[in-house]
Amino acid sequence: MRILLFAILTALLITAAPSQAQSPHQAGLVVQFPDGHIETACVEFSEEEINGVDLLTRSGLAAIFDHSSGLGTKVCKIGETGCNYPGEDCWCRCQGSPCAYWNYWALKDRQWLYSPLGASARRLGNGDVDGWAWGDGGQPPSLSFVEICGATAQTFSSPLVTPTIRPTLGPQPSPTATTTGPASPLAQPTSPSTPTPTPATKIFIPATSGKSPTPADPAIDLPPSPDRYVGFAGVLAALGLIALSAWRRGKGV
Amino acid sequence: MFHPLAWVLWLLASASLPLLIQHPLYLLLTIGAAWLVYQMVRRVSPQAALWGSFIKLALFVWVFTVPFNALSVHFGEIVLFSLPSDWPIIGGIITLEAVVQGLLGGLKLVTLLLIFAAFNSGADHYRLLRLTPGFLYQMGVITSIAVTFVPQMMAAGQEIREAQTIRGHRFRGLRDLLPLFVPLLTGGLERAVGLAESMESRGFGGNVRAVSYGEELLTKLGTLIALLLALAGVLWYSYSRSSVPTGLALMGLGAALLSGVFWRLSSRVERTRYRRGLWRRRDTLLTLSSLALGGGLLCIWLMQRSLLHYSPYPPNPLWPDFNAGLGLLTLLVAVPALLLEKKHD
Repeated sequence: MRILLFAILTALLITAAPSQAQSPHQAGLVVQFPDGHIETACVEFSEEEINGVDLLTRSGLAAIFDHSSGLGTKVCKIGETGCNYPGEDCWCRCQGSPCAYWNYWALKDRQWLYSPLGASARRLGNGDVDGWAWGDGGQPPSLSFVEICGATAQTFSSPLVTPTIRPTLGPQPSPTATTTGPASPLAQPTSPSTPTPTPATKIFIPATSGKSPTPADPAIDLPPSPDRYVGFAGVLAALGLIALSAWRRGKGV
Repeated sequence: MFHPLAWVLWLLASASLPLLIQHPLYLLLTIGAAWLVYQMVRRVSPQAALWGSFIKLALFVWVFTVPFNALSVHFGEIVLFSLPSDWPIIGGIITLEAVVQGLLGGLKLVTLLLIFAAFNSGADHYRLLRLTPGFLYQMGVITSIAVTFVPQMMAAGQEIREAQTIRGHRFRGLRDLLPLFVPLLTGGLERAVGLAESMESRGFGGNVRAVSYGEELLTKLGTLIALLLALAGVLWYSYSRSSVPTGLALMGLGAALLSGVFWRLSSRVERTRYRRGLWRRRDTLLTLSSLALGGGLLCIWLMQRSLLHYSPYPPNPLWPDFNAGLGLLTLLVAVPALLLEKKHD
């Protein structure tokens, strides 16, 4: 029994050894901010597939996540837009009827599809594009993978393609619904009307070497100074004093 | 021991700590304080010893929380090892941050269980039952059965274990536990039913005054209307931002009507009491400290919630911050240890 378990574990560890990929893969990211400003990023990765959270983290955009549920990762904030998660609820703008949150879209055949999976469950391979749009069901502008990652372009600041205005046929998503099914085609023409042609920032991230974010340098993770735990030690000592006096009180008969 | 009301207040204030706080250092302090209270209660209360094994059992929550979190959250910078990414759900990197988060989740549960163990070992359940308002008499009976079920089962478990050991049975593996569990389960149920019957015969079933059909209908109708009003208020409040006051007003109206109905119901139950609980100076002190603890925590929760929250995942640092003021506040959990009477009081 135990030998079997051990064998399985070793097999796991062996298969889990980082598989060196031959050539770096690329995936695109489009983020639509509420002020109409658009950020795109092309992320290189050496793994076969990464998930949507990895893509967003590696794009260099500041993002706040909530991993606490254990059933997937919530995206609370990208850039300056969203909720400061530990301080407020992760979906603080979606507590009532005007519900705004970071809508998650996946590009398929040049069409944005409201992702049926959460960002941590979606797998992106070479050539896939993810989109994030703030609001309630608004789509990011339609850009293709080639427009985002280009063939060679390292820096790129020409005004990007004006997002074409077309009625969205997709379902009206809500943050809870995973799939709303092929909903009514009557859905009102949503969002991409606002985004005026703004110069998009192109962020090119050089491939991170080897497996994902490299294990952090232990030196960085040491507490910056032990000062802040002096308070903890003090409170612990106070608890010890309480214990001592309670003990003596109890004995003193 | 304390007056049941003061003791319940202590429970409410202390249990709100692990419910609102997600931060290892404050939780550790709370555990220390609750442990101290438990140890002190143990010296004066005979039923406390039974909760020892319950606490040991509570430590098993980590067996579930840590692997669950580590295998399902694949995020973090300090990678321990990785599983093939094509495995559903569990595939991906296994990180130290996810393990830490799992430990933290378990810590919250352990803190809560320890506080309940301390409360239960110091509580007189029959005096607590007397505190339940009249109209809730059925619920009071059910609660008292539920609350006494675990301690009685633990006592029975100890007895059965000893009896089986005398018969030469040895508990070595999981399979040997069957002769322990079967009599334990049947015995526990039997005991609970016996308790319920004896309480019923002592009048805890409540002598309900007979009322006219009209009044009966009125109370039922009143309950229905009050609940509908409250529901409408909640919906109004949560689905339209613009009319928050209307929603709150509806909720308030519903609550007022409901309490009126309850008051009428209570006046129907005739219950006499011949011994009043003593309210001593230490009960006043405990009430004050519990109110301070609960109020302070509520203030921090409303004004600076991020202080109570710790997340191990990047970009947050893995090492938690610490606020000495909040740390001192958690020490208020230990107040009962200082107030308890001496052993033979």
